[in-house]
Amino acid sequence: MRRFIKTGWFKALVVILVFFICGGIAGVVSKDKTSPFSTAVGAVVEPLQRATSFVGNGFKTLSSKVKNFKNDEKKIKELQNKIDKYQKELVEFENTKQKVELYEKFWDIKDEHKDFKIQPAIVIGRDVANVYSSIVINKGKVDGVKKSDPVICGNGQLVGVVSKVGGTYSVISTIFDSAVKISSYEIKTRETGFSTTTAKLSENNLCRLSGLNKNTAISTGGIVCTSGEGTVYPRDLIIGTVKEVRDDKRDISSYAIIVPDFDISRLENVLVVTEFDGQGTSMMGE
Amino acid sequence: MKKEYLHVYIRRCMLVLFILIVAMIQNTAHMFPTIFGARAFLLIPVVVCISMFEKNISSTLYGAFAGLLWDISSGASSGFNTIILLLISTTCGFLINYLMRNNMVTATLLTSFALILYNFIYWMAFVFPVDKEGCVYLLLRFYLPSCAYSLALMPPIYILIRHFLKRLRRKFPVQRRLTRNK
Repeated sequence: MRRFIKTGWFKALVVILVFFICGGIAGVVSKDKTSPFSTAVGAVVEPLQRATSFVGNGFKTLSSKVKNFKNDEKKIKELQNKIDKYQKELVEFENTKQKVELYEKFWDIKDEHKDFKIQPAIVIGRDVANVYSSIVINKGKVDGVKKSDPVICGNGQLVGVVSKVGGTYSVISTIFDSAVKISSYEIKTRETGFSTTTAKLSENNLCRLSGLNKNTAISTGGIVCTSGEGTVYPRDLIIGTVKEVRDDKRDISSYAIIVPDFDISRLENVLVVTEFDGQGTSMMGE
Repeated sequence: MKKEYLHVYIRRCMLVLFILIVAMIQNTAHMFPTIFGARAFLLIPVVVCISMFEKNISSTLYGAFAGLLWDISSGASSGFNTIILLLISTTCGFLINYLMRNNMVTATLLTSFALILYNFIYWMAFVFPVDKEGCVYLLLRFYLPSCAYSLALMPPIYILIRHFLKRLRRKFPVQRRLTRNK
């Protein structure tokens, strides 16, 4: 026993014990009831604890994520299906809206021109070799479409004339075709001329009102309409708005540059006027 | 159905279908891109390439079929495209069967010839009489660039047709001589 007491190991143990007991007493005595040792150790261990708790939380989240993964996948699929469904409905809605708009315009035109018999049509193609962009529509002889019937778009703007009719389709020569010549007049000044186009104007979707007097009163902003002469086109179909007036270099007349109010490249629906008062013989090569 | 006939039927059906699809692409707005206003006359290289691999009569018929499809959407006089494409395909068929070799160089030559011929005749018949003032402008601005654009699309068409016919021949070998001997 004496030997044991004299060993260095025992002495160290006693010192440590005393040290801790003192610390414990100091802790009991102190206000915050913590020993200086636990404070010192805590200072060292706390960041480590934070790190381990962070990792632990991470594992917890991961495990919950793994657990919820299947449920989430189901939810995502459900939501995706819902989105798909809504997108389809949106497309249907947009199409119906466009149709309604077209039919509204159609009825407006019918109200305005009671003598018109109109056949709505969809643009289905174009002639690739025709630089003036002749278009193909899905209505033909079967639907009562005839050669030289005028074609308008929803806003009552003249698009062109039927130049070829098949059983279930027709080809339209647009007003951007230099072969199409339309007797027309400007509504303010009542000056008459004929609307046609040239290669360069057609490239920029423009037409011209040719055959005007040198000292024409037509000015920018004037509206050019069909005059109804020639019996191919009914009177007062809008051709476009005057952009500027120029002198014709070839003779002593002037001409006005006209901007039609439709974009040929975006044309989807047109209306073929199959009958109107005063409809007669064709000017298109007949 | 005999195997030797199967080759012919599949070949004809596929080529007709190919012409049909190309015609749809060509004649529908926004289906094929235009480059600086130049458009691709896809049916011309297709007809030339097909007639290079076909016998005289069948190449003529393929040309006529392609022309008919083009005529549906064309504002030009009825039958213009049919006649021109028929002539082009017949000429190409004859040249390949009797005079020329069937390779990419020949295909380029024949397609350029066909494109220039078609566009020049179209321009002379439908553009020049109507718009004498702007006809030269249109020739330089639209018809010649369209020729170049269409010609640039010929190699993939030629390779596609050659590849398809080669594979078909490998899968369903034609036993013409054997049938005759029988």
